[in-house]
Amino acid sequence: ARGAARPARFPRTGLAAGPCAGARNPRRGGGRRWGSPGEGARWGGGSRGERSRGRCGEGARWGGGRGSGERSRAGREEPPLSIDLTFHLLRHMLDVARAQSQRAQAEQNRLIFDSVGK
Amino acid sequence: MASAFRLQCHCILIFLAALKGETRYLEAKGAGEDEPFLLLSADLKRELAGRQLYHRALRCIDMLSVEGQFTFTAEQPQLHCAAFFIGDPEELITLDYDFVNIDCQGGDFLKVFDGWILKGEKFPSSLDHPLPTSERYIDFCESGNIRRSFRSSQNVAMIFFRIHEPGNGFTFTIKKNANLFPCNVISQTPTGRFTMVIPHQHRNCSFSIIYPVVIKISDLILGHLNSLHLKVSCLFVS
Repeated sequence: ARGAARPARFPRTGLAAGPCAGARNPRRGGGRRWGSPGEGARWGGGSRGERSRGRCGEGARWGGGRGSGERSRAGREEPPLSIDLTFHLLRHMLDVARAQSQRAQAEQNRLIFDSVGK
Repeated sequence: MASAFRLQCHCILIFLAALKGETRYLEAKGAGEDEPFLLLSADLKRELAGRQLYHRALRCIDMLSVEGQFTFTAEQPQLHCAAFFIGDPEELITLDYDFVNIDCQGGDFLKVFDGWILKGEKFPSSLDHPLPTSERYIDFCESGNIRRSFRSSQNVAMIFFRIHEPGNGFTFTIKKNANLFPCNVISQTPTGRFTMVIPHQHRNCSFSIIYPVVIKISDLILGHLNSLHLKVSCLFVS
């Protein structure tokens, strides 16, 4: 059973290395900017990033990282909980989720037609 | 007489509002998602509703775009897990905890984030979201007794969780609700057409696609000048 409430603590790992050395982080800057070709869209509030240093295939990493823009505004505020996941992996996961959604819809349609056919 | 006059006034106001374009044109989705249900009797609808809840196990790193019930049970200590939720642009995500068995005092946690956050980068950004970053995290360990339901502000949300003890876990249900005026959207697909209508709101809105695409803006109306209205339509293709 859930214990008494306790402020959850997560590792302040700083700017964790990204999962794949081959993946370039897009250029960062203020406001909303589009990433380099192949990276797709980026979002954020004026944060500054860093290059991925991790090995390819490591998958997702956690970070408490936050761009320098926000860090300077927040001062000593704890960085937000985040996950290091490449857009490539994210797109793959989206594709898998979309296929799963279609299968679920197909199953639902089958149930409907089975019931209608009774 | 008074009520009839009032009704006429209401009708005139609605008509005027329609002429000014303040009514939202609800773009119909492709071939009637709910239409099959119109043919069914009430008993049959209830029976189908009871059987149709999709259920599967949740993975440590997962992406969900379908409604249903999802259960995560740790087979080993899982310290860095996250699940992304995404719906259609005109949908909001609702998450309800059905069962939670985690050891908050032992370092476990379960947090919902209103949006997506990757490598410290948030969507929507802090400039676009109505809440400060700290309030976009809903920590079950801090608020589970009070708040077991969460609704996102846009079509995406995610959870972070950490479970040390094998056998511990949780179950939640994801539902999607209509959002008539989506403001911040992440597209699930690399192709499609989307129209964003921002009705008389002073806010930043955004539409993001995490695929390499070509975007064509087919219809753009910005500003409210001389009774002209604000509308942006764009077509994106991969």
